[in-house]
Amino acid sequence: MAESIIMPKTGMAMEEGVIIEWLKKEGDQIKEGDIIAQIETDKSTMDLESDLSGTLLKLVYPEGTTVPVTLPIAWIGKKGDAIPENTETSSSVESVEAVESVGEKAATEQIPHTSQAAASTGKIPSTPAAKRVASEKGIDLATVTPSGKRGEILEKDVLASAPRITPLAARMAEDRQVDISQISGSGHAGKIFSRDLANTVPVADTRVPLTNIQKITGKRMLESVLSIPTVSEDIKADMTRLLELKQSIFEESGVKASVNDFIIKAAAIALKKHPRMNSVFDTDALIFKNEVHIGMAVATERGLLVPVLRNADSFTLSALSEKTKEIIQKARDSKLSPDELTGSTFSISNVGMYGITSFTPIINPPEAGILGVCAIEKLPRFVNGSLVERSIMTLSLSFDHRVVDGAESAQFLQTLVNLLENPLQLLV
Amino acid sequence: MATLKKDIVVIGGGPAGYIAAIKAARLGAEVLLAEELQVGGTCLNRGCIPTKFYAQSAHTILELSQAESRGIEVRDPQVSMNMKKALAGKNKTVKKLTAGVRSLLKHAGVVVENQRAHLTEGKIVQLADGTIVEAGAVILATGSLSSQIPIEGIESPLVMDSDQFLDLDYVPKRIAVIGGGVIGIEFASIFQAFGSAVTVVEAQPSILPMFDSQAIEITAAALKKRGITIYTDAAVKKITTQNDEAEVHLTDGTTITVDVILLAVGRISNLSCIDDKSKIEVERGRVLTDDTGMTSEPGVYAAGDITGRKLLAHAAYQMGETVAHNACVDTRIVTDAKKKFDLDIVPSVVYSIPEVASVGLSENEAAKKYETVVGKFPLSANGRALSGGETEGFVKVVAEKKYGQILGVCCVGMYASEVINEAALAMRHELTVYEVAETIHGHPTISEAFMEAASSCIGQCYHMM
Repeated sequence: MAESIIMPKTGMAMEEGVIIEWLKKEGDQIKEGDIIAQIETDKSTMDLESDLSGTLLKLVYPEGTTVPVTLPIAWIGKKGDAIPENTETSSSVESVEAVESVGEKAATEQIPHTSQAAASTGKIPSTPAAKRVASEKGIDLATVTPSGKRGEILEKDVLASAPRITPLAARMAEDRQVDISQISGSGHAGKIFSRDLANTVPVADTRVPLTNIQKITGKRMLESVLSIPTVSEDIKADMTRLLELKQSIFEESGVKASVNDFIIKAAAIALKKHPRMNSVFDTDALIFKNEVHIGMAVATERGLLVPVLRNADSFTLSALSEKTKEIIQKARDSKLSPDELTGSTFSISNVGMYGITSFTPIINPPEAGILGVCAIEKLPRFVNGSLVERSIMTLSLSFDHRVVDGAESAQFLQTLVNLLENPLQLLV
Repeated sequence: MATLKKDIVVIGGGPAGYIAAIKAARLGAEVLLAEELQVGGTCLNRGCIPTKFYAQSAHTILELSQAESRGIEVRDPQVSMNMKKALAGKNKTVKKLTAGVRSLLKHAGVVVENQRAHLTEGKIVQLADGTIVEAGAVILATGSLSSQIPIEGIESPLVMDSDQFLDLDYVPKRIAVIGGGVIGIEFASIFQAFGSAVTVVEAQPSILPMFDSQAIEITAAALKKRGITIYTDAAVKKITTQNDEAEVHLTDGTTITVDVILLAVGRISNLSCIDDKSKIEVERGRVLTDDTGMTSEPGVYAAGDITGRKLLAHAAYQMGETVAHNACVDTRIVTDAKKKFDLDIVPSVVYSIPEVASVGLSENEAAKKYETVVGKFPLSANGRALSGGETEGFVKVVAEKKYGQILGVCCVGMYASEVINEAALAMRHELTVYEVAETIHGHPTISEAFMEAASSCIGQCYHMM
């Protein structure tokens, strides 16, 4: 049976070689050790010795062809021996492109077969000791750079090609099923240390089950985004006077109302004036809610809660302030009754304390809108023609476009801004 | 005024400085090393080496006290310490070693200037004689000095630091050691053997607080058994001096009357090489460097105690070598990537009797970061320790449970200072307890206890129940 001589792999990095010159022609008698070709690698030109004796039956590629390593390039046997078919087709003179396509095909189909055959029939020249060590250490001889006088692989070549790795790194690599041949070691002569494995396995992610609140919130948010045609609008309010008023109230009455309290109060009044913002879309009708119940988004350790301030418009500022403090605290302490968690007709989400200057809050279904409250910034503004420092706050309103159109929502925001900029109205 | 140009100027000729100079010179740099005193630094002149000379003397005295049990009959049982001879012997050893360092420097082609030097600006160094040296890179390695503490009466002539103590030509009758750290405990152990009555005062709850607590229990008990008084959790209120006697007053009212006080409360960086105007960044008295040893001034490096990283000669060697390489990269003497300080695995040793040594993480530190197993082998079950008559002590190996990585080793007892290096070697090259356990150790040796402790981590120790 004909046996092949393959394009040798003379170094770890070698992927292909060029047949510079055939030194024997088809039909020549070859003895083991005869030089049959000159091969060029990316590093050097070398003589290719035959490791077989017999008649040179076939030169598979013409001179000048680039051939992937381990592919058969010549066949040797007894006259009349059959040459395996798949190489027959590529034996004629082909263009470089064609050869490359053979190479690609080979890379997927042939190489494993060829190298297996080579290993099992011992066609990679190597000493018995080298074979034994290679098999003990599970090293593929095709990956070993030979240093023998006739190009054969010696025991020391196999040992030198064994990956150098510390015992700890070896144990970790085995445990994590890391292919150490792909790792370059940082130790002496490329020895692999545990630190070199650090990037091979991503640190396992942490899976934390959702709390019930988070599950429900997530579901409702998704439902909101998927089912409500939402539009968001931003408007700026000058809070300078409100902040002054807030300070005066505190100094004169001791009532410590927050900016948020003023905004809830203002929103409640504005909702009364713009009832569509306080309604619910119900397939073929709008349900106007005649009471204003404002939900306040509160971040807690277990997730987002929206406690409800019922009839928010009926409270005086000081009463409202007290009530909101109470329910927010209850939310944080998980002490809200179901009654305090349901029935809101409009919601407010305040992220101002985090310095956020604009966002698009998600509507809390089935409500028509949600007011996002942003940070108060000190900004330069023209007042009566002169540039002065003012406290400016952005309000970001998201609304259900089926319920409210852009003009109505804008009017609602204008009312709101007017109330905030002329805050005495909130005390009436 | 003379101006010189050098590739690299090293200020300070201690372990960091002289190694840096030799390394840089061997890489091909023209190197000038300025050292005000003797080359060899604290280690050779005033630290490791002289104290080990005395520690050996102390060891011999203690061995003599056991001589009879070994069948050695000493006709005149009077053992006494001739401190003048000991001092001379110590100085001779020091001289021999510093001469060795000088010849190494000379052989490497380093120009040694025996004078003070300081960095003026950039990479310009001025020597005490006014010579200006323009350097391609500068290495600051002026080491450390004994710390002082503000206690009333500390200025007494009877209060000495370790430098002065090493030059004593007599054995004080009564010594108080303020500070139960490595230096304090070594001196306490040595001078007790020499015949002094020694009292140690330590502010922390335990002496040698940085070491394994079980190891320290053994050491403290051994020191106490030899007659050393140890006060822990003790703060010194003031020191009073009258004639040739000093009294150490503790805050709890205790008064200790002694002839000499050793102040051993740690060491601070010696910043004499930096001008007040210098831009070198200093934090808490230490020169700040990045991991390549570079200070805030480009091209100016620092190595050894001055960095405050690990105040040990062998850490200084590593730092000196690293900065020399990096300075040579900066000055284009070598083309290579810069190296970083590699100080993860640095053994530390206390030459008390018994010795204490450790490397890596302590049992408690390790347990905070890893799931650990601990193997401990007592020297009372070790043939070499038994035949040597020093059965107090153990070797403890702390390993990570899954892979057997050795995280820390602590030894106390005979030859602990030698055994610890095998542990450091194993850790540095990632041998796990499995490899240590299957390594045949010479018998009988103390190092076997390291193997046994490693075996015990994986339940394979045959010499222990």
